[in-house]
Parts: sequence; structure tokens; C-alpha cells
Amino acid sequence: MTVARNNIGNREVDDEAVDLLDLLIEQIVDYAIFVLDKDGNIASWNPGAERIKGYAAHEIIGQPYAAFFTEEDRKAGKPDAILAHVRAHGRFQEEGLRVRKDGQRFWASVVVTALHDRRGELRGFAKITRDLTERRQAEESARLAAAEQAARRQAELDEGEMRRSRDQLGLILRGITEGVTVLTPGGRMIFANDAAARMCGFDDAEALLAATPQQVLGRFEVSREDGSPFPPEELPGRRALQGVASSTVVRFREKATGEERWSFVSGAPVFDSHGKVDLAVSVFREFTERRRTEQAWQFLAEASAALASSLDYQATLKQVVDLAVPRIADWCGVDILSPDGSLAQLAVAHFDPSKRELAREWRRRWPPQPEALPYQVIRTGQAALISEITDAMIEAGAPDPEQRRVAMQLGLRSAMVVPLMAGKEALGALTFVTAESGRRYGAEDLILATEIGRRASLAIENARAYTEAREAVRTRDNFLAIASHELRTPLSALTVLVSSLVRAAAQGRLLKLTPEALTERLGKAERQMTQLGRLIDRLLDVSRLSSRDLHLERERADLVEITRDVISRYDDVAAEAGGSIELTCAGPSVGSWDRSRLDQVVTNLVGNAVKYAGGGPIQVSISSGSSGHVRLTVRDQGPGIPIADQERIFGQFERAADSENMPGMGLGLWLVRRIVTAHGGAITLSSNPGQGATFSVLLPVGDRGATTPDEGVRS
Amino acid sequence: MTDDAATSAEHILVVEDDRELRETLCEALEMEGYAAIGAENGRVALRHLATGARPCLILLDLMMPVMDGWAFRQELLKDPSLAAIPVVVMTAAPAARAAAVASEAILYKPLHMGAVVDLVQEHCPDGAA
Repeated sequence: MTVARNNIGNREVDDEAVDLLDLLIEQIVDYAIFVLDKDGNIASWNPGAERIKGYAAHEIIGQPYAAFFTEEDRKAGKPDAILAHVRAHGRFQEEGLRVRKDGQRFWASVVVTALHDRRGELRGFAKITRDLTERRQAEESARLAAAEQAARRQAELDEGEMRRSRDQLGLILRGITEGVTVLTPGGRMIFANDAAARMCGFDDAEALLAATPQQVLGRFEVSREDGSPFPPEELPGRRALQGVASSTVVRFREKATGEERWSFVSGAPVFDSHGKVDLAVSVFREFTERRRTEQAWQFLAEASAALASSLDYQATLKQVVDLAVPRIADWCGVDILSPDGSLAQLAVAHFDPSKRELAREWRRRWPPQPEALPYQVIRTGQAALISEITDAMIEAGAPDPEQRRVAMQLGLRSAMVVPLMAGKEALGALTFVTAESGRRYGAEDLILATEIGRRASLAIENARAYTEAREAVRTRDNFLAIASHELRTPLSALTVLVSSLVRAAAQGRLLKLTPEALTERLGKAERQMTQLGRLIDRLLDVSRLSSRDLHLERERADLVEITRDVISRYDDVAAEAGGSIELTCAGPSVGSWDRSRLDQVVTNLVGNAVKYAGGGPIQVSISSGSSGHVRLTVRDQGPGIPIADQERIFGQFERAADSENMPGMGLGLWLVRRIVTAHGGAITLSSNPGQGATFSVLLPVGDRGATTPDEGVRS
Repeated sequence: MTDDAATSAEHILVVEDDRELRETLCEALEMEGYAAIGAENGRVALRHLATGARPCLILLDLMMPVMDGWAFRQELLKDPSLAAIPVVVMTAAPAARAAAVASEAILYKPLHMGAVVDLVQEHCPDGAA
């Protein structure tokens, strides 16, 4: 191939150099290198130009170079504008679109340079074009690749963000105290947090998600706030699947443990773009603790009302025990301290009556040992809390294997014992125990239990104070009734006597009486007045002795002498009833005693014997023992005193039950005991109904006393 | 206490355990011109009636040992020959308890002779000398 060239007549370039340049140009295939004449027509052509532009030399030489431009560039006059630019500035360079012979466009790098001769006259232009299509394509694919990579990076970033958000949401949902579950329209649980799992009795969300709906619901009895059954299809989660948002209080009672939980449950549907339910979200807010607190306060209020409602504290304590179950305890019992120091179970409650019976049976078979908690609480007056009853505790507290077996079966979990106190004196203890509910008592529960114990104690104290006050009023009324009766009889004799004398005087009959008869009647009136005065003194004495200690005027006194004197006063009365009084003694029995008080003792004992002997014989005996004591016994063969009354009759204003119609103030034996004990002695009674009664007084003789030989001598 | 003359003659039976009152009452009735016999409890009074004595009036105390007024009254009502004898209760007991005894009247202690004589006159018209 020859290089088509115009002779441009460069005389400075020798032929050899020109040949070499021609050779170079001819062999370059990567660049189109050609020359335009000064009008822009193509004047030379090389193989590179042919390869790039697609024209053979003969097709293109002489043609305007505008053929290489796109239609748009040609219309815009770009070919001429470029040449004009080169004429003015000598050079133009650009990358732009050019057109091949076949019309295909390609990306080209173009340099156009002005060619001037020695005189500086423009002779033409050199144009070098390079096909940049490949580079351009490489660049484009690199750009695309970069864009793609950027997009992918963005996508990765987005996904990471989303995953992080989702993880965060998961973390938030896992961390919140509310239980959250998500159900598919098919009822399958696809999300649950740990709180929901725990509420459903599972260890964690994975365990809950692995369970079937039947396995979950089957663990519980589900009920409404009022305790009525809750149909599963009406639970908020199920209703949300129907497209309905709802919320309600739900009680879950775990069948296995009996533990009850309270939740506020709300369910909301999530719709897809077509308005169909996509998911159902349930939120459970458990408020078992709050509910327990509410129940505890309700219990406290009701128990307080019960305690205040009646003064029969035994009945009200039973009520309190019933109210405690099941609200604050599975078991509740109250024990009252007996006079012998043992604990008597007053009441026990459990929601299952058969278990209540078991508790009673338990107490019968295994009464609490002295080291048992209720005893400790009573001894110390301090409430006790056992948060967790361990097997070791049961073993220690139940030495009998059978007892241990029953205790283990009951599944006792937690316990509290609070004392019932009246002032500083312990009266008993209230015991609260949990088992089935699985509930564990804590410090707050103990505060409540202690408060209940305090209020119950107060109620007991009130009841006791009331009983004592009522007793005091009854005693006073008795006293007034007896005193008025005792005063009325002698007063009646006096009134009859005086009023009959007044009538006689008024009717002029008085003078018919002899002076002796009149003296006798007036003497009788005087005696009756003296007796009335004595009675009043006695009443005042008793009234004084009720409120202060007995003061003794000790002197050397002979009990035998005092007793003889008393018997002489009653001889007539006894004889009138057809009986007799016998005294057995061994000479004088002297001691340091209050003579007039001992007279009262003997008078009362002999007087009572006469009153109740019903005409039978009365035996009085006095004997001195070697231990410095004198014994006085008064025995009658009257109706006797029932054992039930034997202690009571020593009380103030008390008399034997069947002696209501007997005259007497019921003060005698009370006074006798006071006088005897003031002397350091004791009085005992031995009697069997129908076999009479024997009162026995043992008196220490005191420092100035003198004993007599113990020889029986009948007087 | 049994007075053979009194068992046949018209007389008043005073059943009272307090000796002072019983004796005073009998003497006062005698001063009023009536024959009176005392008994210290229900059993003694029944023994007196068992002799055939028929008093025109029984003055009956309630609270007495051995046999009280309520029991004595029951015994009287059991015997048709004694049931019709008028009984006046003398008591210091509350009205309700005294009213539980079938009686013509109740005299509350302390007794005034005027009130006693008014009742006696009503039931023993022939007694006053």
C-alpha cells in the first residue's frame, strides 16, 4: 500500500526522512493520521484511518472531512467551527462521537493541527484520530461496575441497618416486662419474647415457640376477672386474627401448680396491603403482684371489719382465717395459748375442705413441739418469715417419717407466723402458709401479716376489756341486788314492828301492852337496827376490800375460842332446822391472827354449812400440825357443790348455781379466801354432789403462835 | 311452832326464813287481833298443813332454804284440798320473779303493817277479835 500524499514541498526535510515518515504513517494502524487541505477536504489517508473510519483511500480523498461528523454536529456547523478554531489557535483537541462509513458511531479522540509553510501561510491541517470505543467501553463497564458496587454496598448497608433495627426491636421486645407474641393467620406463633414465655410457664421464648397452641393453653385454666371461664377464641390474640383489636383482664391458673397469674392482655391485627390480616400481635402486661397487693389490702380491710364487727374474738379470728384463704395464703390457721401453755388450734382454713380436715388430723396426731415456730413467735413476740420451706426444714420439724411424708406431699412452699399479743402477753399466733399457689412470701407480705396480727390482737384486747367491763357491771348489779335483798329483810322486820306500834298507838291499843311487852318490842327494834348497821358495815368492808389490800390487826388469838363463840350463835338456827353443830378440837389453838377477821371466816363457813345442811349434822374440827399450821374444817351433809362450781363460788358475788333462792350476798367465801390468804394460809374445798361439802382452812400460826398437843377432844 | 289450837281455828300462816321478821310479823298480826303461825321454810309449812290446819291466808316469802316459796306454791297447787288457800307473796325479789308465783297479791319488802292488815282483812273476815 502507498501513502497517498500531496507534495507539501518541505525543502528542509530530506527525502530519506520523508520516506521514513511515510513508512511510519503507513504502518500505524492504531491512529488515523491524515491531512486536510486548507478547505477541509481530505488530502491523504493511512491504514489506521481506513481501519478506524472504514473508507478506502480512493473513496474518501478529496471528500470534505465533515463526512466523519454526526448528522447533528454537521447541522450545527461543527466541522467548519473546528477548522476556524484551528486557523485561529493552531490546534483543537476533543473526545467526541464520530461516524464510520457504515454509519456506526464511535467514540474518538481527535487532534487537529494547522500546517503552515515557511512564510507562515496556512497550507492545510493534520488530523489524528484515535478510536476510543474500547477504552470508552472499558470505562463504561468500569463505571457500571463501580455503580453496581456502590449500589451493592448501599444495599448491604441498608440490609445491615435493617438487621440492626430488627435486632434492636427484638432486643427491646425481649427486654420489656410486657409479654409480646405474634401469630400468623393460621394461628402459628412466629414471635414471642421471654416475658411472654415466662407468663406461659416456659423457660424462654424458644421453648414457647416450639410448643403447640394446645400445649400452651392446656397448661392453664383461663378465666375472666370475675372467675368465669374464658373461651380461647375470645382471647384478644384470637380476636385480632379476626381483624378486631381488643383488650381485657385475663386470669391464668397454672393447672400443675395452682399458681394464679393476672394479666392485662391486648391484641391488635396487622393488615397487609390488601386489607387482609397478616399478623396478630398480643401484648400481655402481668399485674399479679399488684393484684396481690390489692387483694392483700382488701383482705386487710375485710379482716379489720370482721374484727371490729363482734366482741366474740374467737368467732372473728375464725372469720379472719377464712378471709385469708386464698387471697394471701393457701393455708391459714390461728392457735390460742391454753392456760397450761400449750397451743390449741382455734381454726384452720384451706380452699379444699378435705385438706382442712387433714390439717385438723395433723394437729391431733402431731401437736407442735416446744421448738416449733408458733411457740418461738409466742415466746419472743416477734413475727417470723420463712420465704422458702426447704426439705431440710421439713425433715427437722417432722421427726415422724409418716408426718414427713404427709408434709412433703403438701408441697409447703413459704410461711409466716405472727404473734397475737394483749399488751406484753402473748395470746396465740396466726400462721399463713403457701403451697399450691407456689407463692413465696417476702418482707412486704410479713408487714401485712404483722398488721393483721396487730389488729387481731387489738380486737382481742377490746373484747377482753369489754368482757371485763361487762363482768364488772354484772358484779355491781349483783352486788346491788344482793345488798338490797340483804338489807330489806331486817329492814322489813323493823318496819313491820314500828308500823304495827304506830297503828296500835293510833288506834289507842298501845296502852293495852304491858310495859314488859312494849320493852321487848322496842328492844327488838333496837337489835334490828344494830343488825342493819352491821350489814351496812359489812357491805362497806367488802366494797373497800374489793379495791385495796386487806389490813390485818394481828394479836394473840385462840381459834378454838373464836369457833366456839360462832357456833353458839348458830346453835339455835341449826336446831330449828333439825340439825346440830359438833366441834372437835384438842384444846386451844393459838396464833398471831386478826381475831375479828377470823371470826368472819368461821362465821361464814359455819353460817353456810347451816344454810345448806338442810337440817343435817355439821362437823367442825380444829387440829394443829407439827409444821406450825392449824387446820380448821367445816363439814356439812348438804347437797354438795358440783365440781364445775367449786372454784367459782370463791368469786365475788358468786354462789352455788342451785342456791339462787338462798339468802346471802355471795360475798362470804370471797371474803373468807381473802382473809385466809392475807394470813398466809389457804382454803380448799372438797365436795361431791349429794355428799355434802368440806371446807378446810390451813393457817400458819405466826411468830407469837402456840401449838397444842394434837389430841382429839370432843367439845 | 305447831300450835294445836291454831290448826283448827282460823289463822294466818307466815312462811318466812328470817326469824326476826317472822316473829315480828306474827306478833304484829296478833296485836291486830289475828291468830298467826310461823314456819321457817316451805317444808315446815307443808308439815303444818299436813296436820289438817287450814289457814285463811298464807303470807309467803320466796327466797328460803330447804324449800323455797316457788316450790312450796307448786306443792300447794298439787293438792286440791290446799290449792284454794289464798297466798300473798312477800318478797324483796324483782317483780318478774315474784309474779311467777300464783298469788292473790304481792307485798314488797320492807313491809308496812297497814298494807298487810288490809290484805288480811280481805281474806280473814272472821279473824279480827
